[in-house]
Formats: sequence, structure tokens, C-alpha cells
Amino acid sequence: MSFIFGGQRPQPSKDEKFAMLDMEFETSTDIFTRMMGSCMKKCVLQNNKNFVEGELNKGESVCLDRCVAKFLASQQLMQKKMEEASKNGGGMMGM
Amino acid sequence: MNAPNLTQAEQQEYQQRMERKSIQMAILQFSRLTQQCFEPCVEDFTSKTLGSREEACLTKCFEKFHNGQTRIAQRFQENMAVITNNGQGGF
Repeated sequence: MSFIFGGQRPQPSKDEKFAMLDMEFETSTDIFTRMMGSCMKKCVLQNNKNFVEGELNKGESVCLDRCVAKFLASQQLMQKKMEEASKNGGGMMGM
Repeated sequence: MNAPNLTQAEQQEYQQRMERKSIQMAILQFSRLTQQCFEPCVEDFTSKTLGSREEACLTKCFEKFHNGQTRIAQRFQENMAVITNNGQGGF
């Protein structure tokens, strides 16, 4: 009970710390995988019925750059909305 | 979310764990890639072997995805660095 008598916050255990890191890792991996799927579909797959070239062409490259920026911007916007919603009385999904 | 402080031993242990996870992820991504390239490239089922056109298409598709993934990963990191520096935090 050192956190009561010692006046210090308890240090999280190793398992707790790892669990936090895992959660962060899984979240960003999930976002990355989804982004990868969407951007490849929108920028590359749609225009290649038959792959004749392995290199990304100029249009595909520019499209991917913008797609990543927009996907993350969307994610940020959603996150903000989610936070607002949860402040204003419970929010959706009970978060 | 703030990253917890790890001791050196914990850091090492976690690194090993991440390496195992990365391998698992690479395998999952690989099977997804096969499907993504199979769909546009292989449509003829009058034979059970891959034709030369299908093989060429799969090869180019693989390269295309590899290049795309590399580019996306790069941009992802750059964008995340900007977001984190703006003090909006990560995810």
C-alpha cells in the first residue's frame, strides 16, 4: 500500500505497461492497414486491370501521398468529433 | 496516451515481442496481397496452370504493391510526426 502511505502513485507493473504499449501498437497498425487498403484501392488498383508496370507512376505516387494525408486528417477529425460527443453526455458507443 | 517508462530489461523484452509481432503481421499482409493481386490478374479458368500473362501480371502487381506500401509507410511516418509535434497526440 505504498501509494497510500508513501504518497507516491503506484508504478504500473510490467504487464500493465506492455498492455498499454500493445494497445497503442494495435491501434496504429489497424489504422495503417486500413489506410493501406483504401489508398491502394483508390490510387492503384482501380487503374490497373492488368499490371504492366511494377513501378508507381507519377499519378499513383501523388495520389498515394495525398491519400495518406487525407486519411489521417479524416482520422483526426473523427477523433475530435468522438471526444466532443463523449463530453456531451455519454456520447455514442458508450465511450 | 502517454508512453509508460520502461526499464532497460523491459525495453529489450518488449522489442523481442515486437519482432515476433512484425513477423506475424508480415505473414497476414502477404496473404492479403496474394488475394489483391489474384483478383485483377487471374480470371481464366480453362486451365489449372498460370498463363504467362497472368504470371507477368502477378509479378508486376507484387512490385506495384511493394512500392506502394513503402511509399505509404514513409508518408504515414512523416504525417504522424507532424501530428504528434502539433500536440494533438497520437491515437
